Amino acid sequence: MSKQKAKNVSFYRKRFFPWLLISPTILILFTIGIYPLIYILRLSVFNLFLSKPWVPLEFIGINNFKEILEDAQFFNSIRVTVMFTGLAVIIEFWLGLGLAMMARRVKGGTVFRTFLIIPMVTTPVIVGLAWRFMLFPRLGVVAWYIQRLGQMFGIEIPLLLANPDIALFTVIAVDIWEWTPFMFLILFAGLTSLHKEPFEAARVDGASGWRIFRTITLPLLKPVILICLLIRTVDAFNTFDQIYVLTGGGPGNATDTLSMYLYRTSFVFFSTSKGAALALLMLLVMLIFSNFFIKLLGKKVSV
Amino acid sequence: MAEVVLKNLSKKFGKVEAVKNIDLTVKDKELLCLLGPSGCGKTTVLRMIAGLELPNSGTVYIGGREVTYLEPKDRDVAMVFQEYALYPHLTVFENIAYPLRVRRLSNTQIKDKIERVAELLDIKEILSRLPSQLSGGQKQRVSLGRAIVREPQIFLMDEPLSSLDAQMRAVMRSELKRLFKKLQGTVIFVTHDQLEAMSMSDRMVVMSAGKIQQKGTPMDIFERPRNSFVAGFIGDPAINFFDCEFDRKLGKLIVNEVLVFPLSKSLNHFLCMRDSNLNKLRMGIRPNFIQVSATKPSSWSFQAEVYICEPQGTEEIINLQFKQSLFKARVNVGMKMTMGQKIWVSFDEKHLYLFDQETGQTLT
Amino acid sequence: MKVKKEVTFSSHKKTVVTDSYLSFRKYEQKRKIGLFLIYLVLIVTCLIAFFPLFWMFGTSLKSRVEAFATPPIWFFSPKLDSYKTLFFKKNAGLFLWNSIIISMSSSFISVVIGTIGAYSLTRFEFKGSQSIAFWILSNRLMPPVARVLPIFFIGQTLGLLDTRISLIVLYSAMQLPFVIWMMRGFLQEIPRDIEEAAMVDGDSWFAAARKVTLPMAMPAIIATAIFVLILSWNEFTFAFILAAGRAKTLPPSVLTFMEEGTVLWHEVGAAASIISIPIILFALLVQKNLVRGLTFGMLKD
Repeated sequence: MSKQKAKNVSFYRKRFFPWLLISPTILILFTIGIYPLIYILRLSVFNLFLSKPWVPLEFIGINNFKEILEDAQFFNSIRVTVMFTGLAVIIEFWLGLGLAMMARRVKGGTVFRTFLIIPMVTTPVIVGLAWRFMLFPRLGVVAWYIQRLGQMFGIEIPLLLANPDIALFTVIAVDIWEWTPFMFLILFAGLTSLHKEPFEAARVDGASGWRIFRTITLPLLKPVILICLLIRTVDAFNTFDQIYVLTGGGPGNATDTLSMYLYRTSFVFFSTSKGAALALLMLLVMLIFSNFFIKLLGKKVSV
Repeated sequence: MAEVVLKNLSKKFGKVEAVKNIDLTVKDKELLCLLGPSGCGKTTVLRMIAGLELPNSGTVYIGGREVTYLEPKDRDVAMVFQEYALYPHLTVFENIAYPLRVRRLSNTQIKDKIERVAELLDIKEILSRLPSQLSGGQKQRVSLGRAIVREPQIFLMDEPLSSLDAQMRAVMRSELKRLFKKLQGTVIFVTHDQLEAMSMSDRMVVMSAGKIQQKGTPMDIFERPRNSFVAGFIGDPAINFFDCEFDRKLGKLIVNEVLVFPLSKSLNHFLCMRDSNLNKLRMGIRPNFIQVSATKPSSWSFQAEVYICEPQGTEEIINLQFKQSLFKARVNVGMKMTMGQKIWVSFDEKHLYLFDQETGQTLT
Repeated sequence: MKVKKEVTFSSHKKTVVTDSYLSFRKYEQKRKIGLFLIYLVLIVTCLIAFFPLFWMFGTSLKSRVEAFATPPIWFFSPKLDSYKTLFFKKNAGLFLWNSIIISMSSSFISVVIGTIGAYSLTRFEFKGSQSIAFWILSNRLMPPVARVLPIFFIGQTLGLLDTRISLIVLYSAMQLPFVIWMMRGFLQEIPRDIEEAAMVDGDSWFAAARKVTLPMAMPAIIATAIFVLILSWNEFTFAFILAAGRAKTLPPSVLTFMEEGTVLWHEVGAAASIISIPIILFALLVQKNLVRGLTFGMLKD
């Protein structure tokens, strides 16, 4: 190859090849990401109701949105979702952090990790089913022993999944069981990646263990913490599978999260456009939230 | 400021004995250096003084107080780490303030002290920067600042200059020594660079394989090494060694079976008195005491081939080859020399060191 | 005040004479108690993590009577009846087969496309690589329940509902972000120098990639493939809505066991085991790289 030709080729190579390689990816993601979004946008301002296919399609603007915002169930779902997401993520975080710090001090961390992966990789539907079974009134193994335990202390333990006041917490507990390992893994990796020297300097400078944790460990872990909080919050917000199987939104509407509400609207009542509007609302909330989080990350755009 | 006393200190990591029975006293206000090759245990000793490692046996005293098992924070020592160990998320000001905040000093007190330290180390302009925005030299000064601001009993430094580039190193050598003399501090520092040790310390401790090889002032160690290891470690370029046989009847040292070095009567006598079984010896002669000339000198000499020359400005280091041995001579620039040229080499007995080949002990 | 004490600590006996030693002893004691507690907590956590699936598996080996017994039975003789029912009467074989085909195909496709894409992102610096990466992740924000809708409509229009192909294509697309996330982290770890050395030696970038990078990235690719395999295997929402009949995969199929009045828990247990156990085994095989891949995506700037 002559020098000139080689130069040309490498010039093009630098310009085009990267895009060539990544074009299938971009194409697919566009189809999967952007197109549904546009579709839903469109849907939400029309009045498509698969339940009433005879109604002619017309543009109704923000009617769907208004309907949703006037629906008491919607606000209940918000309450449930916020409680679920908030409690689950926060507890998972602190548990995960605690476990990670403990696991750092002992040998045999790999064995521990092996067990902890199990809840994470199990099919969420199965998680829901397994716990539903174990918590089944009188029949389930966990329910049984908790009953016995209550009897020993003379307390009547309510039915964990059937009792409207407790059901949400039970569902949260199941989520904690499933996802704390996620927090653990990320935080453990983060902790391990910290250099040990600043910590030694702090010891020599006179700081106690708790102070070191507060002033050095946590700040240095900030980027990692923010990322896993972000991911987990978004996922918790959108959780569907487990709840559907565990309680189906009930009893009553005690565990009726936004996802469940959305499912019902779109696939049970077939109020398609309304469902689309709701989906947009949920997406909006998530966008605002994650934007806020990314800003918190500051200059460390680690995506 | 205070004394540091180590008694019979030992430390094992698993099966490896890193430090073996160290006895050492560091006087008040002294600048002491722990010198030795990598892995000799010097850093471990330093960390045991700091409290970051606990010994398997032995005791550590600081300022007359026994501190062997105390946490670092209870020992009142300050340490400058090899990679500076600055807190990456804090500004320079906060980095230096950290130990003071731990001790709950008021904000005004903290500001005061830091201003003084910043003045001393010339870091006033960078007080609001983050460690990632600093150069190596600046980081070192901040690290020093953090140690100084506490006014501790003892300063410990782990390879303080090794992370700097050569130019900075040369500058900081003198600056650091001056600084610590001014602060009147007891300083123990660790290094593998013998030039650093020689120029900065009041006293040196040469270590190898967990043991102390020799203690003394730099000149002491340079002029009177206790064994061939110390002799070979100190001095740049390194001392030249020639293994030889001692012929007591003839009073001569025979190198490579061809070169014969005549011993003076007194030296010969001395060696015979030392040990009647003395046979295999090692000669040591420093490069600057080797003389070269184009013509055969009147005193004892031999011919060697020029292997390569290394000009150093006003001086030159000539690598010479004799039979299988390579050795170096340091001379003033003068003679023109070419590779392969044969020249006459000589040295005087009074500059000669003699070591027992097996034990390495100095005989003279 | 000196105290002479004969003490054994960690590696040897020694007569120690100190008062700092006493405070050290207290410290050692506290440390040992702390360690014990930590081990306790960790072991309990392991048990908690392991128990539910263990119990489900055990239940699957019980007879119907045993499964419904109160108090719960811990010791029994295992029977494979529930598995037989699933496979012979409830068509579990079809669902299993669907799951296998769909997961493996989509995993393969997404890994191939995604790895090439990730390679491009890491090896060639071009404008917008940062924002692409960011955008890839923002795909995650939409609730899956919502995304099903348009896909459902497309599928209906194209008559592609309830086919394996549509699920394969769909899953491949959905998994792409994950593949890129993981492979990017891994590929960044592989030094470019070796590739460049090969290129200087005359190879085109493609040959260099094939001969040099690929072998080194193999463990990462396998771990990523398995991670994505797990994702598609476990996927419920889309399969549930889009494939109600012939192409149904395992996760939605469990629901059918629930709709028959009294839930047949032992059969559910069997279904659960069929679904979970292969996955868990796979995950355990590559757990080291799996974890590395997951966390790399996060720790890299």
